[in-house]
Amino acid sequence: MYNLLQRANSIFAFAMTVTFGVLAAIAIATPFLPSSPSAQITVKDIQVISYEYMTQGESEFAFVKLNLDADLTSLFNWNTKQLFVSVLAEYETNSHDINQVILWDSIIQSKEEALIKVSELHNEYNFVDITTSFRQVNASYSLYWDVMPYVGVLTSGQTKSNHVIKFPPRSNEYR
Amino acid sequence: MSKWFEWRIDFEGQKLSEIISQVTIVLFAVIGFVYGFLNQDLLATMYIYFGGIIFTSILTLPPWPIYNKHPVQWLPEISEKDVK
Repeated sequence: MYNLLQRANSIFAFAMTVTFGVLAAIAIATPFLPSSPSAQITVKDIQVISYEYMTQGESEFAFVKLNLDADLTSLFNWNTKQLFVSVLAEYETNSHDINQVILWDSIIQSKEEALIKVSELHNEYNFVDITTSFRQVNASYSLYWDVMPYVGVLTSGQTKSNHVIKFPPRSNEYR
Repeated sequence: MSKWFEWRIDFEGQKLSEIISQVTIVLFAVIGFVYGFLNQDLLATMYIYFGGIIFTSILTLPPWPIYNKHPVQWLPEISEKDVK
């Protein structure tokens, strides 16, 4: 503390320690902030059509059309950088207990964008089963989100899937 | 160059500047955290905290007169005559 260099050194060393304390406090405090995200997914239409798929031969493709109405604005607090949101179809088959297929996803970077209202949403990615056929299983559709903070741990959540819809039998032409 | 920026302070001043720097940095950290939390603004926390570090540097780095109030009193020089 005797000359300039020593004082500068000790101030910045102490400030470094306090910085980590501040960041830790932010990371610890953030999960206690209340949030009330909600989402409603309604399936408008499902069609199952069989196509040639890579080397597996014939495979069933599902085409889903759904309405998505979600309000995730409450997930944006002081420590939210962005959200990763995805719509998943979940179902159970005789051979595989848990099947999760991502139909649509989006990165949300502002509170204004977090009010999602999309109608007639088609699945972005190929919706195929791990076996080549869906065999008319019942699938539920729910919204999953990951909250990416500036400081701290990545948290995630989902809506309860209560909208269970049976797959229709295979049709030959897309309507 | 390094001679001009020695900026020495006395022992009492060293103690005082250490206490002032630690208290102000912690104070700005707490104020920044509380303000940012209440206003839900992380950027405000960062501005207040890092602004506080700059303020602390201005407060404690230069050899302000308050840090040189107790200059070290050296013993009087011993001359040849006193030794004999």
